[in-house]
Amino acid sequence: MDTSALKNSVLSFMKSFNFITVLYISVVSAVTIIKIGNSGGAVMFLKKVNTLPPVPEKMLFISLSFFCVLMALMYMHDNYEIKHQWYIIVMEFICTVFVIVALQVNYNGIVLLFVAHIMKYFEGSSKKLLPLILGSTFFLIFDFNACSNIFKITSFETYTEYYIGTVATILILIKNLFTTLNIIFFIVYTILHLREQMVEKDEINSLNERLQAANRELEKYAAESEKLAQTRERNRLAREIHDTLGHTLTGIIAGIDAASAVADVSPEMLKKYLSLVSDVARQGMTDVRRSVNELRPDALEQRDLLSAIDKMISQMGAASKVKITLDNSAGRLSFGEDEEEVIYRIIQESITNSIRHGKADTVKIRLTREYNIVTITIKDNGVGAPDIELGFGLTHMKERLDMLGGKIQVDGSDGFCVVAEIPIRWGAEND
Amino acid sequence: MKKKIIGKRFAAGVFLAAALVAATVSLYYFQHKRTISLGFFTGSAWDVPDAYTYQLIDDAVEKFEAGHPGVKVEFVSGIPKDDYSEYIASALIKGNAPDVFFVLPEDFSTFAGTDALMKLDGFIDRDADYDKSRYYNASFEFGNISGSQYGIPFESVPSMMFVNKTLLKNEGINEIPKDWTWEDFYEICDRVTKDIDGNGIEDQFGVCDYTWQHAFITNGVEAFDANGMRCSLLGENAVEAVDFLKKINGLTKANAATADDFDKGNVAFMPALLSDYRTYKPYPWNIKKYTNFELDCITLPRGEKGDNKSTMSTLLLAMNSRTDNEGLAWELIKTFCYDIEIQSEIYTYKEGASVLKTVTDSMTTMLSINQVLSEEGGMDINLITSIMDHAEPDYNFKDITPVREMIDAGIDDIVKNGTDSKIGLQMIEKRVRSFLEE
Repeated sequence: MDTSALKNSVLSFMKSFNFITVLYISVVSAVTIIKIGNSGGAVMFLKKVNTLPPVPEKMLFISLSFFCVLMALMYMHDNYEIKHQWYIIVMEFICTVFVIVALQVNYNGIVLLFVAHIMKYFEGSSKKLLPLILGSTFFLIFDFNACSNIFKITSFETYTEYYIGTVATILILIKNLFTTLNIIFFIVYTILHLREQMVEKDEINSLNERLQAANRELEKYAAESEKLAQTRERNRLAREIHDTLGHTLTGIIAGIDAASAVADVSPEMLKKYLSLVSDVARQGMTDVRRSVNELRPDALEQRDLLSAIDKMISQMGAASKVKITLDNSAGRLSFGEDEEEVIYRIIQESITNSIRHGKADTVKIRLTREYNIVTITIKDNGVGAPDIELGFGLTHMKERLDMLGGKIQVDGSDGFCVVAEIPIRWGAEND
Repeated sequence: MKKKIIGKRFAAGVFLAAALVAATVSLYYFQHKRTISLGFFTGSAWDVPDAYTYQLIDDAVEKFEAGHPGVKVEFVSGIPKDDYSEYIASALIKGNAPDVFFVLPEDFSTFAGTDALMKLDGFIDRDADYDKSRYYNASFEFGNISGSQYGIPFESVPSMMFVNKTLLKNEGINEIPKDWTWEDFYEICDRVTKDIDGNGIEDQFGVCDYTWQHAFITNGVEAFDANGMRCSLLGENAVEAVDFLKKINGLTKANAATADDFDKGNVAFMPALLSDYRTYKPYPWNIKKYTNFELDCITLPRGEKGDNKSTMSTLLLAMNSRTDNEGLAWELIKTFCYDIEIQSEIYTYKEGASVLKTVTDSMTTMLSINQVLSEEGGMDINLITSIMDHAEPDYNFKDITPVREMIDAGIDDIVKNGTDSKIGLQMIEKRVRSFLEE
């Protein structure tokens, strides 16, 4: 059994024990008072005391009913949510006082029960010593000898003088036994209470230590993470250079090739190609600037993903005379920034590959979505690649997809086909 | 721990239950207010035969009920005087004592000392119709302990001196002055103490039952303070009183006279109570105790430093401190103790004196006493009023009974062994003081 459970059972035991004591004292007093009244020694008794004994039935009724009310209040205090805790504590205290007064201060152990009960409600607060201080004060104040000098009260012992010899002794002994046992229970309760608090303190200390250890781990991890981020950033830069410069340069080369092919035939076409090359170069320039600035596709920054892709397709198609089509059955495309960028880059890279390596003249792009998986299929009619070596471009695509938890499949048997699946985060769609 | 919030329904239930209890209690209280209980005993408080207790009680109750329609006075009848103290004490302890009850003089300090009796000062002050100066001071003061009034006087009896007029006449003594002194007293006693049948043993005596209390009161000894907390027996007055006791007791040898000797007509003086006089003297009374001599009564002789004073014992009416009928209880007390008609009945049905000056002074009362007295004649009717006017209340502090016994024993010792009065009193005082300090 742990301390807390033990403590609770000591408290419940104290409650029943106090009930027995209150019952014992009130019943013995009441019965004795009635016996004295009927014994023919009433005048003698009145000469001995300085006040009338309490009315027996009344004393029984008041002490026991207030004890029951006290128990009910304690039960409510323990089991119900109480807004103003002080009210119930004051009410409990009033009941305690009533029981003591009804018993003519012949039993004050109930103060200890009251203190034991309220102790747990002051745990951890700055007033945690208050119940103990108040309790010991009241325990001292509600002392029979102290009170009998100020108030007119009759002691239990005076009542028992009615009985002859042994009976009186036994009755007093039982009362003293009850009183002493109650004090012992209270001490045990207090010790358990203190021990529980000490255990709690220890637990808090060990938790604190663990927290500090975790903190150190975290710091270490943060340092590692920083290094990792640096590496990642370097990779990203490399990708950016490849994506932007490589792409632009490919376009420029393709454009210049086309220009040189038509240079002799049609100066107008030449002009047109050159102006396209110039566009691509400018775009490349912008890309590079942007990369330097933010490493984010400018197209994406200025418009939504779909129109950015459209623009890219028309630019590349115009520059390379490759026919590029986009078939979007995924509906409105709205993703997180990182997702958009990955989609954009995959498409860009795939087109670049198709033009550069596959010598294709048509590229079909299809966007589909099933639940939260967006599938991008880029298929060309180029030479394909029976043995696929993962070049820098593909590796980067894979890396980018990995970061989002997606996957990529490539097939070079009939033209070249890239199928990328990206799981879209829920909620991003509605942004 | 999961806690439930106290619901409105629960609170409403508690409130309803409380209201129900309050309603029941107030209903009961209201019903209860319509009856008031009275505690009394049959017989006389002064241990003389009494046959008319119920007349006075019935008249008073009838008068009270007539004045308070709908109120009923309840009482248990037939409790003899000897059982009465215990009856009331038992009821007080068990918490079912009557709202208003008679308190015998010997019980008064005990009951008042245990807070069993309600303090009546508030009622006295508030009641505009009530004037305490209409009582004999000694009667009223007897109900006062430490400045608080716990009882209202109903009937008083002063102590006086019985005189065997026949014996004195035989000895040639005809007139005793009203303000006679210890010297006169001693002189007469000395003169009458003799052996008449000549068998060597004295058989005619001066006085019997004359105690330190009679000597103290007539020599102005203030043995106790009002609260009975301090005892001082070392004053000159007290020493003189004890010296006088020694002197007067010295007249007879070992066989001091008793009340029995007085009844037989062999003693000249005996201190006794008015109730004894009223019981045994009047003609129509069926008990004629003193048949062989003419009985008269006079004041107690005074010492050098004192007066012809008496102590006065008083039967009180008190209110139970636990009564919930305070207002009615006070009215009932007033009916018994303040109503001229009821108080007048004391002279018809009881043996003591009315505590109201007007009643005792009144012509009708005088006539009624005169009527019975005139048969044998002789008593100065103004004597009763005079004695009562000058009487002192009996001690009423709590420990008076044991203290009285201690002084009794101590002074008995001094008188018998002829100890020096001052030394003897010193010892008594020491003993009494240590007893009171406990």
